[in-house]
Amino acid sequence: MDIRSSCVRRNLLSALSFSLLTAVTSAHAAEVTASDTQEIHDLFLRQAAAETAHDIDALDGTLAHAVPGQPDPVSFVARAYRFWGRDAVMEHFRKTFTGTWRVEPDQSAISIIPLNGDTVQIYAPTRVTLGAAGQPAKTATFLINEFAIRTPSGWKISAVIPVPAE
Amino acid sequence: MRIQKTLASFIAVVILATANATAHAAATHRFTDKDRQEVKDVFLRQAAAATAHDIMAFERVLASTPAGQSDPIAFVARAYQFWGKPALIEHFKETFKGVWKFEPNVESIKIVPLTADVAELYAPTQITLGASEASAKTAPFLVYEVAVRTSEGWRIASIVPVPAQ
Repeated sequence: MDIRSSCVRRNLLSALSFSLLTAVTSAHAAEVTASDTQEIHDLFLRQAAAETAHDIDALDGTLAHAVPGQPDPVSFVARAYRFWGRDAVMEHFRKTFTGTWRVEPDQSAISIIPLNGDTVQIYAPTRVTLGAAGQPAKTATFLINEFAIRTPSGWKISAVIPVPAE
Repeated sequence: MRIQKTLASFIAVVILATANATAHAAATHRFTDKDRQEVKDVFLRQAAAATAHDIMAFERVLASTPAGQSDPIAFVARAYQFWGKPALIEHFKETFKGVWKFEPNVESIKIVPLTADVAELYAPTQITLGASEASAKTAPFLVYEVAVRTSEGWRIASIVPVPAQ
């Protein structure tokens, strides 16, 4: 075998290895990495801070947008009310922010559970203080469940499911 | 030279197959009406298995842990929380010793995709539970679940029953 032939063969083998690697990579979905988990943790805390600050624009930035041609993935399912779609959820919070609304998650108890490579469940026991404008507020603990999805603009919240703890 | 030609042909086949598979996935990877029906079916199989106290059938509707990844099963209720499939199955083995009926309002089931591979399911449901028929009580719950697409079809990963009262 001459040098030129050996060089061509090495190049072909390199290309073959790359092709196989590409095929294997394509067959597997992305996994939720430690970096993803941190990003999701930060997202959840940004959402809680936005709600407590009554910052509707910051809250808007934490929620997912619908993929073109697919249904709106944002929802809020609670004992007292259900909202389907981003617009309905945002309208609910605009009204809620006219009164008392504080969200204080127990940061030491936050759990993030990957459901697949692009979706996680966030669980956080959370003290919520709420009351209509001009009315006395009450504080109660909820087991907050949220579902975050990987989007082109990073992880975003799609669903919020508070379970009353008492 | 023959080896080089053989290798070149093999590489071309791999590249074309990969490109074809990727293009096919991109073209078909959406949440379809068929997916919606399959998510509804797996939820109704779960409800039937729970009411029949069929722990094997119940286990089959739950997602399994993909190799090298964490267990995706979660159950968050006011009274208890379970993380992982073994813990949840153990809970239902105990629950099935008493009274447990799970009756969703089928007409009110709502399914919304969160991604192409994940869907939320909402179903107002009457749950009857107790140690005996005499002590069993029925209460309404807003059952919220999340189903994931797996190599075996759609499976339930998360169950969050919200008490309606």
